[in-house]
Amino acid sequence: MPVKIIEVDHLHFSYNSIPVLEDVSFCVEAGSFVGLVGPNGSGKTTLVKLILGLATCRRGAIRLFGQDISDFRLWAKVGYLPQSLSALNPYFPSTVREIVALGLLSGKRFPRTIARSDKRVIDGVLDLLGIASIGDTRVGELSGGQQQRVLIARAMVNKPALLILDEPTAALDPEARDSFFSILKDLQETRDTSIILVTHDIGNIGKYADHLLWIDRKLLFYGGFDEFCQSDRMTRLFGAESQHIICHRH
Amino acid sequence: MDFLEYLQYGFIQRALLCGSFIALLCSTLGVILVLRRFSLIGDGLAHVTFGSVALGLFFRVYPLYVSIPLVMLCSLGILKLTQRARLYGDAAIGVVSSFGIAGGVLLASVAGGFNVDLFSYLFGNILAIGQGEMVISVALSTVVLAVILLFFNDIFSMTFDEEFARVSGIGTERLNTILVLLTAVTVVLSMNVVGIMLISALLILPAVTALQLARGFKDAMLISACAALVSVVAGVFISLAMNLPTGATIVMTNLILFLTAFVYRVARQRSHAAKS
Repeated sequence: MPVKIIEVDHLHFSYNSIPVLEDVSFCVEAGSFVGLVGPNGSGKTTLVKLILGLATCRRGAIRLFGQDISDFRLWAKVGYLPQSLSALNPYFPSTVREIVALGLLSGKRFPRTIARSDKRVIDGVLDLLGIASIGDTRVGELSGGQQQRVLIARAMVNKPALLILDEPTAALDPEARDSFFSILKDLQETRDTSIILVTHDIGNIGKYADHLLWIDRKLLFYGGFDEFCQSDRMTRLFGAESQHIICHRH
Repeated sequence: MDFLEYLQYGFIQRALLCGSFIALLCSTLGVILVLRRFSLIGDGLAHVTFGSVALGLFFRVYPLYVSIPLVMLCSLGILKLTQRARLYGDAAIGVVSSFGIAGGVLLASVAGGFNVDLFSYLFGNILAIGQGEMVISVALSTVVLAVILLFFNDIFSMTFDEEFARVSGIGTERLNTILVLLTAVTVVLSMNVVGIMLISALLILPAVTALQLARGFKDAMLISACAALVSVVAGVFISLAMNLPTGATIVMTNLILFLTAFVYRVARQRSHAAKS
């Protein structure tokens, strides 16, 4: 029986009494690659924050690796890339290696220190993402795309069982984007990593993700791509053109 | 008199020892506060220190004993106002600091008799630090520095990206509380070195000097600590040699170091741009 990594049960969330999410329920199984899509303001980032305990839900339940999110402590199993790249302070004094090393802290006990042996792990992930040559560069001196890859490396360095990425490809050029998606696919296939990827890139997501989670305040669709492509209800909801774009690429 | 002769005097030894510890404290904490855009908390808590010193003098209690708990309490007040009252950090600092200044002025006015004592706290006198004050300052500085070292990577992670730090299992709420409490202790201890009016300079200037030069976070801490140590030692000797107020001389030395670092960074950037 497949292991459930994320269970979201009748989740409701409001901000200043404005409903953001209404009665959302789904469950992600180990090894899934889920594309989380929806229009601007549909509640994608809020859903991610609720799953990670960064926001608190008042109605409904969220379980991560079988534990209620309010009691969850197994953070070493989770890798996260926040959406807010623009909030990165360009004057912050930190090298690429220092930032990537922060991704290892979740697996350490207090006082959390970076050991010599960790350096090899960091070099490995820098190599994987093609940024080994800029390891000692100050993060503020990098381009948006390079900064994005540094933050992706930070999310991946701990070899998490669940990787949650909020619009990771926004600052990447098409070549870097394809290479990044290949790395994700490889992680999913070789390490059974579960991936939740928030994206607007509905044209590309079909090539890589095996599940589609479509929200617009409410859960509109959650299931496999074949199911999505054959669903008349989805055709009525999104229109034949949108459905075709996703399914054609798939 | 040469510098070695100065070192034979107990009051100068105490000033240098105490000043160096507090310089280390302010410089490391300063980097964190500046990067978290919370650097004016030093100024706000200094104003609260003014009120607490007035309270101590009013009740004839040694001001340090009143200031440490009261300023720690107000630092928590700033944090709670930021988190709960939906105030930006600078507005919360403004609320608490105006309370400190107004309270101090009211007490001074009611007492009507400790204006001279209060003046010495406003501008500090590192050369008048007694044995007891030195022991308290060095002991508390050591505790604060040990806490910063123990939480170094947690603080680094939270300073760079608080959301990611939380997902790494770092208790950011607890760490924020620890940081403001450490800042409160640092501000009170710095009162003797540069005085209430110039405390924020000791927190901000070494940090911004380091940010001109450092590539990494550890480098920034080290450069900031070096700049603060140099400014305290040089400030003490220059003030003695030229008969100047020591606190203000320390701050001006810090300012010169910052300007030097700034000019060096701009020159280096231009030379790199010319080469490429």
